[in-house]
Amino acid sequence: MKVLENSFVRPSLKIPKWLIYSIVIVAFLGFLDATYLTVKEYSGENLNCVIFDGCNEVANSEYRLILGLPVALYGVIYYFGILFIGLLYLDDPSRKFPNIFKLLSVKFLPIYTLIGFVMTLRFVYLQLFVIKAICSYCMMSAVTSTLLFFFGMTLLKNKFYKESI
Amino acid sequence: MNKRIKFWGITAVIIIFSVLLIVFVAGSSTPVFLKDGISDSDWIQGNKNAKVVLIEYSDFECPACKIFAQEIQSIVDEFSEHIVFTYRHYPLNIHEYAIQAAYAADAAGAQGKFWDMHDMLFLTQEEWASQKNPEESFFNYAKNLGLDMKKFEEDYNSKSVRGRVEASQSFAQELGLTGTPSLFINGKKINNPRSHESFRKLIRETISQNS
Repeated sequence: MKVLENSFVRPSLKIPKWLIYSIVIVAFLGFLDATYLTVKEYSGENLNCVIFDGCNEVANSEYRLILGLPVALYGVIYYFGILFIGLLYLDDPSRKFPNIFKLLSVKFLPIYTLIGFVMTLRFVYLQLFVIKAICSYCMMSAVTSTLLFFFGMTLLKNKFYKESI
Repeated sequence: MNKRIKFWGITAVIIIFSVLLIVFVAGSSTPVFLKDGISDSDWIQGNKNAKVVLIEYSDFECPACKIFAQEIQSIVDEFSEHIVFTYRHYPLNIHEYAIQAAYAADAAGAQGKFWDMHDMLFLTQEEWASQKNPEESFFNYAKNLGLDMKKFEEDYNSKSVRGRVEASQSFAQELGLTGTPSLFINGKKINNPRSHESFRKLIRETISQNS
């Protein structure tokens, strides 16, 4: 309710341009990477490893699934969610009348990126210490989700963001 | 309103186009075929006269290969009359001891115990793969399998065993195999089955097509 009130009292929720564009671009890259891994997972084909040789070790390991679904598919949903939130924000260039859905989405972003970052830490740990192989596509996803976490935390520090709580 | 439609329209086109491109790139790998079937030098299980030939390029230090070894064993047991399975070495460079493990398997094979050593190496994979000197473990496994240790040591260090393993590895590299396990059915590389059921179904279909 407070959020709704604030959206009328101080209707603009301004996020620096560089931040929102960075979020959209990085989420889009993560989305493409996760889509590639998901397509390969469902086709059952081996990945074409780049930089490190161990991508198929990781992609064929038992840790590739969570609750019966490929980790990469969760990645697609995760990155698409962030991309969509970023686009929702960009959708209204005036940013004067953010609707409640948009406001909540943007507010939700830091928590969302934190979830992604925790999952990333788990998967990097599994690659380095359990599977003992590195998948460059997964590491690329680790980089994008870490960047998104950094952007999410930057958003949390944003004074407009703080004021609108 | 027009601006918004334009914004979401262009965005949707970019996303859809990118996804289609990714699907195209991911699915456009060149098909790989094996011209020759099994040879006398292959380690085989099942019916050697069977019309369905399953070939696996595998690595003893690869965790996914360990899981597949159990899958394949179950398939071979179930369809033993109708298929012949051969294990071929493809020790990956990222695995420090995979090539020595392959030597150990072939050295055991020289005394008729390839499959026993194959099972033992996969069963104890985590144990020896984390050791600094796994050769000691390989020799212990050989001893436990009741092998003639003098002959095992000779074979393990022999040029013929090493040459065979390295030839198999080079062949897999020339084929352009990007990882292990890589499976072929009747010469055609297949996508690794994602479940036991899908594997069984594939084998059943291939058997019925070839009977």
